[in-house]
Amino acid sequence: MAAPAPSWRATPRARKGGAAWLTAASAAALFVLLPLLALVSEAVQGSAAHLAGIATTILPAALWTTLVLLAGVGAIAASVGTTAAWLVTAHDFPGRRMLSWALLLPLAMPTYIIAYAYLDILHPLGPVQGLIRDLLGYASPREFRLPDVRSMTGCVVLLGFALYPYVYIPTRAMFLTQSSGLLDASRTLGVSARARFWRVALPLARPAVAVGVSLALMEALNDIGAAEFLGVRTLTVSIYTTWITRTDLPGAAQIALALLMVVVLLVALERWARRSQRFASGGGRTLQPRKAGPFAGIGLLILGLIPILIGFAAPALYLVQAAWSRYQFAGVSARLAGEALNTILLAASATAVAAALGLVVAYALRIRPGPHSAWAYRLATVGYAAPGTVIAIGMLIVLGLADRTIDAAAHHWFGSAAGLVFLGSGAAVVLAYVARFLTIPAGAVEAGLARIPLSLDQASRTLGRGATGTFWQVHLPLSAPALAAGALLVFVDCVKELPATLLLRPLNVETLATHLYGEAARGTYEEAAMAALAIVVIAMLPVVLLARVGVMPNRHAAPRQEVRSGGAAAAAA
Amino acid sequence: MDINQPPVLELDGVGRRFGRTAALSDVSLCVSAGEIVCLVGHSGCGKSSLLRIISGVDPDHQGRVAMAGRTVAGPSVFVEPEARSVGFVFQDYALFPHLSMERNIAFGLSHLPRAEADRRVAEMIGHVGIGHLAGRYPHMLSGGEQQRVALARALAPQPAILLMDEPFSNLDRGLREQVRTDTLSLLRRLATTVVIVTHDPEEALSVGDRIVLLQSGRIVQTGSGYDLYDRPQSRYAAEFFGGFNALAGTCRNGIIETPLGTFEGAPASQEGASVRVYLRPQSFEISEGEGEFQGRIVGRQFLGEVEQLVIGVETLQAPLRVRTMRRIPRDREVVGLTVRRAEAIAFAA
Repeated sequence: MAAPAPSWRATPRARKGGAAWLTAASAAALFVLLPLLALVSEAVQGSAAHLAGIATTILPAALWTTLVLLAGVGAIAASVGTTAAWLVTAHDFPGRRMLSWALLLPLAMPTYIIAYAYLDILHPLGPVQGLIRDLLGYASPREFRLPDVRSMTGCVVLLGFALYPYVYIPTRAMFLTQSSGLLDASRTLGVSARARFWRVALPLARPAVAVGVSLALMEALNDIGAAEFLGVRTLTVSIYTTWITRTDLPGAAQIALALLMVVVLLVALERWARRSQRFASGGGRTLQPRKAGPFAGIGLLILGLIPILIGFAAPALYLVQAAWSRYQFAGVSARLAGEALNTILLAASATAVAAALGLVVAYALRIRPGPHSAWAYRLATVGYAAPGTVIAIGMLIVLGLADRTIDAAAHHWFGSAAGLVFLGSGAAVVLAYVARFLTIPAGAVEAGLARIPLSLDQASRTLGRGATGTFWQVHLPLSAPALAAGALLVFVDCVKELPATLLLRPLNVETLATHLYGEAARGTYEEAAMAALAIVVIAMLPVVLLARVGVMPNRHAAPRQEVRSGGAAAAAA
Repeated sequence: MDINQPPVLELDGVGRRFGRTAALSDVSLCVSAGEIVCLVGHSGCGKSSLLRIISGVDPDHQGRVAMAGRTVAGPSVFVEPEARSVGFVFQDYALFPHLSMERNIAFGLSHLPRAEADRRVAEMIGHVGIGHLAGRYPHMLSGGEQQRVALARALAPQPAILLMDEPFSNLDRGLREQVRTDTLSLLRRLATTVVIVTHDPEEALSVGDRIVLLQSGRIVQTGSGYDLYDRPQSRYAAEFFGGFNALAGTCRNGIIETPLGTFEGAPASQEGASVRVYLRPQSFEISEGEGEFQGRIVGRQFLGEVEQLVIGVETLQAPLRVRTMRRIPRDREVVGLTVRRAEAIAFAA
């Protein structure tokens, strides 16, 4: 690339730069799409009689249970999240700053861990019921006990308090950016403080609440541990048992499709709830919190602490205490250390692959803007919406076929068996993680690249760098912080992931999450608290990051917005 | 100039469409070595698109682009921008925020041995006078400093041609003049071939050896600043370089009748055709006594050497702008005006 004396490497007109990136992005999209397509194909292969069997025996009950669960969790997450957001934005009281980030803490508590912890906390012989009996003067659980937490009600309450931050984050952001002018205006119109919330602030925040609730419900749909431990037979649990205990893949695929329908319904509902909402905040001053009196202030602080106590502090304290007593009793077993290593290896591999693919998908959108790259981006990032079990069943079908083909080929050509290349090695788990979480690094890099002006690309090109050289020397260094933030989120999500790991892990390979699941399912209480505590500590990393930065590097919200409306626009820009 | 040497840049029938709208059509232009050509026109006239096509960052166009006699973009050929030897100074300077000032300038020198590149960077820093900014990053530099780094970076690889897209428009008015003068004297000293884009008529007149006036993606007039200012060949050119008073007129017997009397030099058009006559503000004699006609002063703007008066005339709807070096007493309301008719320019309306 001699600049002063140009080398006239003329290329044919038709070949434009970046074709390789576009091809790679399309391949990534196909990779994510493949398990979902396989799912459909497997589901229709099951005989009609079989389908009728599933449809009459398992589906109706599981579907009803799932819908009831979603309705309950949605109601709790929406009311707790919105109230908490209003509390810390509209009022000023001692501890408000601490509260505004501490309310994020339940994000670090996976649903199966919160359920696991409360099984013991609320056990008839556990600390809470014991305390209540002592206070009321009862001697044994036979005389007095609280309703069993292993119930639909228990599941709804626990998931609601674990998932409200998904509503809290966007709603708080919406309240914060809302121009106080509107609220002042309503004040001059004689609207009381209470009515200002109901008649002005809340309707304005409706799109944010809708986004948050739909995210929380997707997490609830994805959950397998909490529902299973608490005896709630949702669609997700049914998929798992249909495959694991009855080895019925077409049946599992059919239920998985039904679950996917619920997701589509959810997305449609969210869009409806956000319909024709394009509120431009009128600029000007942002919402100023109103100072509360000393007694009211303490009351507000206590009110704000309740969700943190239920959703994080109580289970976390329980885990610390249980893990500590186990540690004093037996130390850390080699087995648990090995499982921790497995967890980190699987999560790190998936993070590396997802980060690389995310870069490819987002970069193709930049250097070859147009419908092709926009669709590749959109399809490569649909995995966010598919629950882990759905992705896992799809992967099982695709990789099972791949394994059989490779094994047969090895027999044919080398005369020896190759074994299960994907399903036997943990590669299947990694690929499922990538398919599910690809949207996170893709969205992060896309947002990072969008902040780099196009003139930098052109400057680099005219200064002698090709498309690839520009990527390495300009785009990669400039979007590295965004990519790192995205990678951290993927890593943490992989560590927390349970349903796909359960279905796809090779025999005798355990991660921290599956260890906890196994113990909880057996009802043994050995090292599960340690495993859970390790997961929660890792999962607190992005929460700390979030609290420091003050903005949400949102797991789903940012890329989803992108996909829904901004995708084409981003491509065109 | 060696006549046998091929032009540094040659455009032949270049066009560019965005969807259905044509941003550029049939643009042909030659730029010789050491020449400074200024592309000027209103925003959206296609001048920046043309720069992008010349540099190669926009490959989707019709027509042919040749540099030093060899086609770099044509029906069957395309040379990527990195192989064209063009320097580009962007409107927003496009400095790499993650690189220091020196490494920005060295960005295009990776093909050189390290010592040679360092020497070249030091030389460029000397040329644009930014030695005191050593080690700074773009966000630590003022607008004028960023502009100079961008210029040094574009010139460092010694490109065959330097393209500048509104390089002074992001600077404060006072600073702009100074930076422009410094930049041009450097470019002249280095005998750089330059194509510079601007929307500012005054800048175009002061900067270019040759001015290319674009309108809606077409070249309407090419020539020196004097040509375009003194002898505009179209209403668009006359109005672009501006300051004219426009009068509506009608052709009668080869002369033009207007509310301010008759003018010679009717454009070849038939009897009764409507015509516009353009008169510069300085084409009027102003007197405190009687003139050809009387006007009433409705506004005054004192500019130092001259004063611009806004003068209402009974027979005209819009008032005239008139510039004079005479000092008219402040309490004077009615003045006499005489038109220097030879300086008028007329175009068919």
